[in-house]
Amino acid sequence: VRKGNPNIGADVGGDDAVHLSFLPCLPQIKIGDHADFTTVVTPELNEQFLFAQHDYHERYWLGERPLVHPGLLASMSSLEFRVKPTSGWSGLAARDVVRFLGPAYVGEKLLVTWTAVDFIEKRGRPYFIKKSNITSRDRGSPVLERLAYTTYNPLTRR
Amino acid sequence: MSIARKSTFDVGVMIHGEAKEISISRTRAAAGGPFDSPEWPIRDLHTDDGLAQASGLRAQIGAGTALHGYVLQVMMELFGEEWLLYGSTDIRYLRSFYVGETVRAYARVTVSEPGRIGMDVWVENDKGEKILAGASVFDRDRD
Repeated sequence: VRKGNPNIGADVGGDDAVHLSFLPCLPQIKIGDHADFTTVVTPELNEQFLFAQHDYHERYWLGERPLVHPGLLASMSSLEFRVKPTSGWSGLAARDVVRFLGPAYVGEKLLVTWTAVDFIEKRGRPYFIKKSNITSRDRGSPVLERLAYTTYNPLTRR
Repeated sequence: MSIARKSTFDVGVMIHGEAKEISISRTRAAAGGPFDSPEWPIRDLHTDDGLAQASGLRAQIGAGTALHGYVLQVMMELFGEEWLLYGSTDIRYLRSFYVGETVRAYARVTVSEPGRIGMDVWVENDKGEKILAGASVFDRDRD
């Protein structure tokens, strides 16, 4: 995790949101922090997701350049920004705002960047708002922008 | 996929995807990480009954991002690979859903202009409850 600008995206949560300075479930993360990684979607990982989705369209597995399933692109997460069960909290997806910018192909290197945009509380629930960009490293082409909202429940036992 | 036709993209036309049964194996495939990871399946609410129950849930829950994927499957069938250049979604996960439920993605055309199609999108469970809702836009002229 790289430390970053604490002022990014201060208005993302809406009028009724209370902005928090940190999240109890991820106290080490600060607004503006980045977590980046490079990944390759292998044919096996793409097929795993096709099975998960019951979606076996040939565009994802046949031909010279099969496409990465868009649902897989829209669900790539950062381990650094995930709560672990030992934290005493569990995370639930609350909202996703996704803009597709171009295809991604099986076997190419993808740069996935995550930025902590805001921590808010609405109706007593904490939310972590984080932004993701996926870019093809091989082609230098943007693939996807995503704003992901995650909320958290305290565990009653671990 | 089923389209209640007039023209596919007339305002008011409703489209739905195939019914999908939520199973443990498909949920783990969606949310557990790569099969070849030494940590597979990653322990979370989608893979671990104990953890889910400690969070106040009845049992391990289906993956919300898989529901989003069902919506995207409908979009890809409607718009083809152009969706990956001009498509966007804004969706909210409304309630938890469980193994054994059957769900289906829907879309209804709300905006139909040359090069721009707006839709309400949602996913229902077999009780007719919305478990995901939002909007999608296909726009060839977006910035």
